[in-house]
Amino acid sequence: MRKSSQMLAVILLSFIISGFALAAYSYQRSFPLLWAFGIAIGFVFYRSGICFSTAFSDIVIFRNFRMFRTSLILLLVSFLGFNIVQVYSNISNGIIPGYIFPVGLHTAIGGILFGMGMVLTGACVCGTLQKLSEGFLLFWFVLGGVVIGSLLGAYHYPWWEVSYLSWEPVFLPNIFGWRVSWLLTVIILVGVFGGTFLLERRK
Amino acid sequence: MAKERLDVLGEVCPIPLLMTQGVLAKFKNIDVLVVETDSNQAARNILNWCESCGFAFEIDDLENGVWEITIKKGNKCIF
Repeated sequence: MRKSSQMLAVILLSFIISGFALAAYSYQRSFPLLWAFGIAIGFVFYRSGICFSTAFSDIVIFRNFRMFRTSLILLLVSFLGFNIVQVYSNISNGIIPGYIFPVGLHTAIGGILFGMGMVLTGACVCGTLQKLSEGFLLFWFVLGGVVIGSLLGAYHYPWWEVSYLSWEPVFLPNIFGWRVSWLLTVIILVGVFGGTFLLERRK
Repeated sequence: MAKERLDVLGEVCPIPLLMTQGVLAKFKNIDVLVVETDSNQAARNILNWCESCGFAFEIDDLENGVWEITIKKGNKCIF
Protein backbone atom coordinates (compact mmCIF):
# COMPACT_ATOMS: atom_id res chain seq x y z
CA MET A 1 0.00 0.00 0.00
CA ARG A 2 1.14 3.46 -0.85
CA LYS A 3 1.34 6.06 1.88
CA SER A 4 -1.45 8.60 1.70
CA SER A 5 -0.28 11.55 -0.30
CA GLN A 6 -3.16 13.73 0.77
CA MET A 7 -2.51 14.07 4.52
CA LEU A 8 -2.75 17.87 4.46
CA ALA A 9 -5.96 17.76 2.45
CA VAL A 10 -7.47 15.20 4.84
CA ILE A 11 -6.68 17.34 7.89
CA LEU A 12 -7.94 20.50 6.21
CA LEU A 13 -11.11 18.78 5.07
CA SER A 14 -11.82 17.36 8.55
CA PHE A 15 -11.62 20.90 9.94
CA ILE A 16 -13.95 22.24 7.25
CA ILE A 17 -16.42 19.37 7.79
CA SER A 18 -16.51 19.77 11.57
CA GLY A 19 -16.60 23.57 11.31
CA PHE A 20 -19.57 23.40 8.96
CA ALA A 21 -21.27 20.88 11.26
CA LEU A 22 -20.84 23.24 14.22
CA ALA A 23 -22.19 26.18 12.24
CA ALA A 24 -25.14 24.06 11.11
CA TYR A 25 -25.79 22.94 14.68
CA SER A 26 -26.12 26.53 15.83
CA TYR A 27 -28.63 27.08 13.03
CA GLN A 28 -30.74 24.00 13.67
CA ARG A 29 -29.96 21.01 15.87
CA SER A 30 -30.78 18.30 13.37
CA PHE A 31 -28.60 19.74 10.58
CA PRO A 32 -25.27 18.09 11.55
CA LEU A 33 -27.01 14.73 11.36
CA LEU A 34 -28.19 15.45 7.82
CA TRP A 35 -24.70 16.67 6.94
CA ALA A 36 -23.16 13.43 8.28
CA PHE A 37 -25.78 11.41 6.43
CA GLY A 38 -24.96 13.17 3.17
CA ILE A 39 -21.25 12.60 3.60
CA ALA A 40 -21.85 8.93 4.41
CA ILE A 41 -23.95 8.48 1.26
CA GLY A 42 -21.27 10.24 -0.77
CA PHE A 43 -18.65 7.89 0.63
CA VAL A 44 -20.71 4.82 -0.18
CA PHE A 45 -21.29 6.11 -3.72
CA TYR A 46 -17.59 6.74 -4.16
CA ARG A 47 -16.47 3.36 -2.86
CA SER A 48 -19.11 1.38 -4.70
CA GLY A 49 -18.26 3.11 -7.96
CA ILE A 50 -21.90 3.03 -8.94
CA CYS A 51 -22.41 4.60 -12.33
CA PHE A 52 -25.73 4.94 -14.12
CA SER A 53 -24.17 5.69 -17.47
CA THR A 54 -22.14 2.48 -17.27
CA ALA A 55 -25.30 0.67 -16.23
CA PHE A 56 -26.93 1.55 -19.53
CA SER A 57 -23.96 1.75 -21.89
CA ASP A 58 -22.59 -1.63 -20.77
CA ILE A 59 -25.85 -3.32 -21.72
CA VAL A 60 -25.70 -1.94 -25.24
CA ILE A 61 -21.95 -2.18 -25.87
CA PHE A 62 -20.85 -5.25 -23.91
CA ARG A 63 -24.14 -6.97 -23.06
CA ASN A 64 -23.01 -6.78 -19.46
CA PHE A 65 -25.80 -6.28 -16.92
CA ARG A 66 -23.65 -6.10 -13.80
CA MET A 67 -23.92 -2.36 -13.17
CA PHE A 68 -27.55 -2.31 -14.28
CA ARG A 69 -28.37 -4.82 -11.55
CA THR A 70 -26.44 -2.74 -9.04
CA SER A 71 -28.54 0.27 -10.03
CA LEU A 72 -31.71 -1.80 -9.63
CA ILE A 73 -30.67 -2.73 -6.09
CA LEU A 74 -30.02 0.95 -5.42
CA LEU A 75 -33.47 1.80 -6.78
CA LEU A 76 -35.10 -0.87 -4.63
CA VAL A 77 -33.30 0.27 -1.47
CA SER A 78 -34.15 3.92 -2.07
CA PHE A 79 -37.76 3.00 -2.88
CA LEU A 80 -38.10 1.08 0.39
CA GLY A 81 -36.55 3.92 2.35
CA PHE A 82 -38.61 6.63 0.69
CA ASN A 83 -41.71 4.54 1.09
CA ILE A 84 -41.22 4.48 4.86
CA VAL A 85 -40.71 8.25 4.87
CA GLN A 86 -43.79 8.81 2.69
CA VAL A 87 -46.06 6.53 4.70
CA TYR A 88 -44.84 8.01 7.98
CA SER A 89 -45.29 11.56 6.74
CA ASN A 90 -48.71 10.73 5.29
CA ILE A 91 -49.89 9.35 8.65
CA SER A 92 -48.45 12.17 10.74
CA ASN A 93 -49.40 15.22 8.65
CA GLY A 94 -51.03 14.07 5.43
CA ILE A 95 -48.24 15.41 3.23
CA ILE A 96 -46.47 13.02 0.86
CA PRO A 97 -42.89 14.13 0.22
CA GLY A 98 -40.99 13.28 -2.95
CA TYR A 99 -40.75 14.31 -6.58
CA ILE A 100 -44.17 13.38 -7.84
CA PHE A 101 -44.44 14.99 -11.27
CA PRO A 102 -46.38 14.22 -14.43
CA VAL A 103 -44.67 12.00 -17.00
CA GLY A 104 -44.93 12.88 -20.66
CA LEU A 105 -43.16 13.68 -23.90
CA HIS A 106 -40.92 16.15 -22.11
CA THR A 107 -39.65 13.31 -19.86
CA ALA A 108 -38.62 11.28 -22.89
CA ILE A 109 -36.95 14.25 -24.61
CA GLY A 110 -35.14 15.20 -21.42
CA GLY A 111 -34.08 11.60 -20.90
CA ILE A 112 -32.65 11.33 -24.42
CA LEU A 113 -30.75 14.62 -24.06
CA PHE A 114 -29.44 13.64 -20.63
CA GLY A 115 -28.56 10.15 -21.83
CA MET A 116 -26.54 11.46 -24.76
CA GLY A 117 -24.61 13.80 -22.49
CA MET A 118 -24.06 11.10 -19.90
CA VAL A 119 -22.66 8.57 -22.37
CA LEU A 120 -20.47 11.18 -24.11
CA THR A 121 -18.90 12.38 -20.87
CA GLY A 122 -18.88 8.95 -19.26
CA ALA A 123 -20.78 9.85 -16.12
CA CYS A 124 -24.17 10.96 -14.86
CA VAL A 125 -24.44 13.63 -12.17
CA CYS A 126 -23.45 11.42 -9.24
CA GLY A 127 -20.73 9.82 -11.32
CA THR A 128 -19.41 13.27 -12.17
CA LEU A 129 -19.15 14.12 -8.48
CA GLN A 130 -17.47 10.78 -7.79
CA LYS A 131 -14.88 11.24 -10.51
CA LEU A 132 -14.36 14.85 -9.53
CA SER A 133 -13.49 13.75 -6.01
CA GLU A 134 -11.13 11.13 -7.38
CA GLY A 135 -9.15 13.93 -8.97
CA PHE A 136 -10.26 13.75 -12.60
CA LEU A 137 -9.78 17.35 -13.73
CA LEU A 138 -11.80 16.74 -16.89
CA PHE A 139 -14.93 16.39 -14.80
CA TRP A 140 -14.79 20.02 -13.70
CA PHE A 141 -15.86 20.80 -17.26
CA VAL A 142 -18.55 18.13 -17.07
CA LEU A 143 -19.82 19.65 -13.82
CA GLY A 144 -19.90 23.02 -15.59
CA GLY A 145 -21.97 21.38 -18.32
CA VAL A 146 -24.33 19.87 -15.73
CA VAL A 147 -24.84 23.28 -14.12
CA ILE A 148 -25.39 25.06 -17.45
CA GLY A 149 -27.74 22.32 -18.63
CA SER A 150 -29.77 22.38 -15.43
CA LEU A 151 -30.02 26.18 -15.56
CA LEU A 152 -31.18 26.10 -19.18
CA GLY A 153 -33.65 23.33 -18.34
CA ALA A 154 -35.04 25.25 -15.37
CA TYR A 155 -35.22 28.43 -17.45
CA HIS A 156 -37.06 26.73 -20.29
CA TYR A 157 -39.28 24.51 -18.13
CA PRO A 158 -42.33 26.83 -18.08
CA TRP A 159 -42.65 26.48 -21.86
CA TRP A 160 -42.82 22.67 -21.55
CA GLU A 161 -45.25 23.00 -18.69
CA VAL A 162 -47.63 25.06 -20.83
CA SER A 163 -47.16 22.98 -23.99
CA TYR A 164 -47.16 19.42 -22.72
CA LEU A 165 -48.22 19.14 -19.10
CA SER A 166 -51.95 18.99 -19.34
CA TRP A 167 -52.48 15.97 -17.13
CA GLU A 168 -52.12 15.21 -13.46
CA PRO A 169 -49.16 13.38 -11.95
CA VAL A 170 -49.70 9.67 -11.37
CA PHE A 171 -48.90 8.43 -7.89
CA LEU A 172 -49.44 4.68 -7.62
CA PRO A 173 -50.58 4.58 -3.96
CA ASN A 174 -53.44 6.94 -4.90
CA ILE A 175 -54.68 4.38 -7.42
CA PHE A 176 -53.92 1.02 -5.82
CA GLY A 177 -53.45 1.91 -2.19
CA TRP A 178 -50.17 1.77 -0.29
CA ARG A 179 -49.91 -2.00 0.17
CA VAL A 180 -50.68 -3.05 -3.39
CA SER A 181 -48.50 -0.38 -4.95
CA TRP A 182 -45.66 -1.35 -2.63
CA LEU A 183 -45.97 -4.97 -3.67
CA LEU A 184 -46.31 -4.02 -7.34
CA THR A 185 -43.15 -1.90 -7.31
CA VAL A 186 -41.12 -4.59 -5.55
CA ILE A 187 -42.41 -7.27 -7.94
CA ILE A 188 -41.55 -5.14 -11.00
CA LEU A 189 -38.06 -4.30 -9.75
CA VAL A 190 -37.28 -7.88 -8.72
CA GLY A 191 -38.76 -9.09 -12.01
CA VAL A 192 -36.51 -6.82 -14.05
CA PHE A 193 -33.58 -7.92 -11.87
CA GLY A 194 -34.29 -11.57 -12.64
CA GLY A 195 -34.98 -10.78 -16.29
CA THR A 196 -31.45 -9.45 -16.77
CA PHE A 197 -30.06 -12.92 -16.04
CA LEU A 198 -32.22 -14.38 -18.80
CA LEU A 199 -31.16 -11.64 -21.23
CA GLU A 200 -27.53 -12.20 -20.32
CA ARG A 201 -27.71 -15.90 -20.98
CA ARG A 202 -29.26 -15.37 -24.42
CA LYS A 203 -26.16 -13.80 -25.94
CA MET B 1 5.77 -13.41 -28.22
CA ALA B 2 4.27 -10.12 -29.25
CA LYS B 3 3.92 -7.51 -26.55
CA GLU B 4 2.11 -4.22 -27.08
CA ARG B 5 1.29 -1.15 -25.00
CA LEU B 6 -2.00 0.70 -25.05
CA ASP B 7 -2.27 4.17 -23.58
CA VAL B 8 -5.82 5.13 -22.60
CA LEU B 9 -4.90 7.82 -20.08
CA GLY B 10 -7.62 10.44 -19.81
CA GLU B 11 -10.28 8.23 -21.39
CA VAL B 12 -13.38 7.37 -19.36
CA CYS B 13 -15.45 4.23 -19.52
CA PRO B 14 -16.44 2.57 -21.75
CA ILE B 15 -13.65 3.75 -24.09
CA PRO B 16 -10.69 1.96 -22.37
CA LEU B 17 -12.37 -1.45 -22.48
CA LEU B 18 -13.61 -0.87 -26.04
CA MET B 19 -10.11 0.07 -27.19
CA THR B 20 -8.59 -2.91 -25.38
CA GLN B 21 -11.04 -5.26 -27.05
CA GLY B 22 -10.53 -3.51 -30.36
CA VAL B 23 -6.74 -3.82 -30.27
CA LEU B 24 -6.90 -7.48 -29.25
CA ALA B 25 -9.46 -8.22 -31.96
CA LYS B 26 -7.51 -6.43 -34.66
CA PHE B 27 -4.00 -7.64 -33.88
CA LYS B 28 -4.41 -11.31 -33.24
CA ASN B 29 -0.68 -11.87 -32.86
CA ILE B 30 -0.56 -9.91 -29.58
CA ASP B 31 0.04 -12.23 -26.64
CA VAL B 32 0.64 -9.65 -23.92
CA LEU B 33 -1.05 -6.26 -23.85
CA VAL B 34 -0.15 -3.62 -21.30
CA VAL B 35 -2.94 -1.10 -20.77
CA GLU B 36 -2.32 2.12 -18.93
CA THR B 37 -5.38 3.91 -17.52
CA ASP B 38 -6.19 6.55 -14.94
CA SER B 39 -9.85 5.61 -14.50
CA ASN B 40 -10.43 3.13 -11.69
CA GLN B 41 -13.83 2.18 -13.07
CA ALA B 42 -12.27 1.42 -16.45
CA ALA B 43 -9.56 -0.64 -14.76
CA ARG B 44 -12.23 -2.62 -12.94
CA ASN B 45 -14.15 -3.10 -16.21
CA ILE B 46 -11.07 -4.42 -17.98
CA LEU B 47 -10.26 -6.80 -15.11
CA ASN B 48 -13.84 -8.11 -15.08
CA TRP B 49 -13.71 -8.65 -18.81
CA CYS B 50 -10.35 -10.48 -18.58
CA GLU B 51 -11.79 -12.69 -15.90
CA SER B 52 -14.85 -13.53 -17.97
CA CYS B 53 -12.62 -14.38 -20.94
CA GLY B 54 -10.23 -16.46 -18.87
CA PHE B 55 -7.17 -14.31 -19.58
CA ALA B 56 -4.41 -14.06 -17.00
CA PHE B 57 -3.83 -10.50 -15.83
CA GLU B 58 -1.80 -8.41 -13.44
CA ILE B 59 -2.48 -4.94 -12.12
CA ASP B 60 0.12 -2.53 -10.88
CA ASP B 61 -0.37 1.01 -9.67
CA LEU B 62 2.32 3.18 -11.17
CA GLU B 63 1.45 6.24 -9.13
CA ASN B 64 -1.63 7.56 -7.34
CA GLY B 65 -4.52 7.08 -9.71
CA VAL B 66 -2.65 5.49 -12.60
CA TRP B 67 -2.88 1.77 -13.18
CA GLU B 68 -1.04 -0.54 -15.52
CA ILE B 69 -2.87 -3.70 -16.46
CA THR B 70 -0.92 -6.51 -18.04
CA ILE B 71 -3.20 -8.83 -19.98
CA LYS B 72 -1.67 -12.17 -20.85
CA LYS B 73 -3.91 -13.31 -23.58
CA GLY B 74 -1.55 -16.00 -24.81
CA ASN B 75 -2.95 -17.60 -27.91
CA LYS B 76 -6.46 -17.79 -26.53
CA CYS B 77 -8.89 -16.29 -28.95
CA ILE B 78 -12.43 -15.29 -28.22
CA PHE B 79 -13.06 -13.02 -31.19
